[in-house]
Amino acid sequence: MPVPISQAWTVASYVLGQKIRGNKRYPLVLMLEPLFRCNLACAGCGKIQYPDHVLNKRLTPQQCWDAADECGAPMVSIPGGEPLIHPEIDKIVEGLVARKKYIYLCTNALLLKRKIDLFKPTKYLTFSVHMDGLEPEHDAAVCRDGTYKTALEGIKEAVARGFRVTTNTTLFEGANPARVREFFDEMMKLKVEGMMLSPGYSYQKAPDQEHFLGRERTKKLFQEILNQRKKSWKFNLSPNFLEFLQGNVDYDCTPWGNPTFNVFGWQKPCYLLQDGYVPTFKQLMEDTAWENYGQKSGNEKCRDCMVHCGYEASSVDDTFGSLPGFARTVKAAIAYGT
Amino acid sequence: MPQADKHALPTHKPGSIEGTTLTCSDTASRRHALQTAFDYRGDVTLDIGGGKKIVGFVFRYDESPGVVHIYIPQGKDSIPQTFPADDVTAVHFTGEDTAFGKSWDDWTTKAEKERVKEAERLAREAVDRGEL
Repeated sequence: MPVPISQAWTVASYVLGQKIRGNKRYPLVLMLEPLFRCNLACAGCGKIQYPDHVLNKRLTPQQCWDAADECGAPMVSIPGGEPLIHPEIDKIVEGLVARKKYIYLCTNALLLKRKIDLFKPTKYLTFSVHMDGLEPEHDAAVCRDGTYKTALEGIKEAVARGFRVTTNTTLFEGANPARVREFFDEMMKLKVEGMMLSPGYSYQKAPDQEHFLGRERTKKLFQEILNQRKKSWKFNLSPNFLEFLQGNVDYDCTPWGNPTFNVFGWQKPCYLLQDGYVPTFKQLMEDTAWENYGQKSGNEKCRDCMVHCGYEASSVDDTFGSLPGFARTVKAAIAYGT
Repeated sequence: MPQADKHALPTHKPGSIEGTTLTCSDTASRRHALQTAFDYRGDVTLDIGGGKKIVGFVFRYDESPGVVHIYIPQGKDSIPQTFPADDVTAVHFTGEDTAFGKSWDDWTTKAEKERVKEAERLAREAVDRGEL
């Protein structure tokens, strides 16, 4: 089982608690962006295109902890930018661990070997390493040669030291299913805990709007990739989300499931769209016109999106929302070994 | 040097709004101008009446009540400031449009030599900042 039982139990009891209290909208994963600065400049990325004075801004550890407290989600994903650039990332992580949050530190691993001594292995911390494919595909995707090899060294070092490590892969138009399957084999050989997958989708303000997958193409691609999947492949995802990606089950988006906090405040409505910012989590939840978002709302911006930050929360909610949902999860979990 | 002077209106880049100006003559045009400023990935210069100018990055715009939140550059960092949207009489897109020319197609249509050179430059800059 790729996720520790304590994490599965924490998430399950949290979601059930929300259900019992009748909360229809609750956060599952806080997306905490402590900076936008990155040491890569992947073409098409929508997170790093800001003036220098904005890229130089950093959330303080206290701001990060306050956001986690305010939001209350049991899991915290730390993307960016590249979080390992943050001079106080160890302190940020330490404070979140003290709060018993399950942290996914999303990194390109270019600094992982150099900074790994700053961290202690714990069940609460996972390094989620950005790997977009085998060496040629990954280096091409991040626009820099040598990145795959460096990331691989980082993964090996972290695994050897007893850290939880997952990979985190975004697939774009033109991905070759056979190569992706080969890539899964390579990643599992590294003894990572599991792999995370998501179709790419355009950030609203990203300079690239052309190379993201449409909905039908996404389903076909994931069917081809996951058809006759190998038992050795472990996925660090809700099994229902993998079913959703293949079109075997349909969900609408849960845009409040992964609320985003960064140097501008709480981002409305989700990790990918920037329709505004508010200073408090409460305002985000209460003042956002949620009915205007998600595929079923008819919002053009949401039309083709099948990204984990909107649909993984839907999958988890389905698991605990009804007996058929729970049965679906058990069935899919057995099939995927998740 | 005042920030406004560092951001003299540049030549308009085709395909980008960098170098253009939106004038605020009424509520609707002001809303449009400020929403465009919020969406813009560069600094802007705001005319706020009485010949005053504010230069910075609009990171939040609350339509109701009309409030503009802007990061004003201070050395390498910047500080947040707010002011009433109604004060804005024009928005000049003076700072570099940082998203312009950064799409995947822009990257792949560059010659291999040019891509290598750019990747090396970006890596060098990251090393200089102590980030690699």
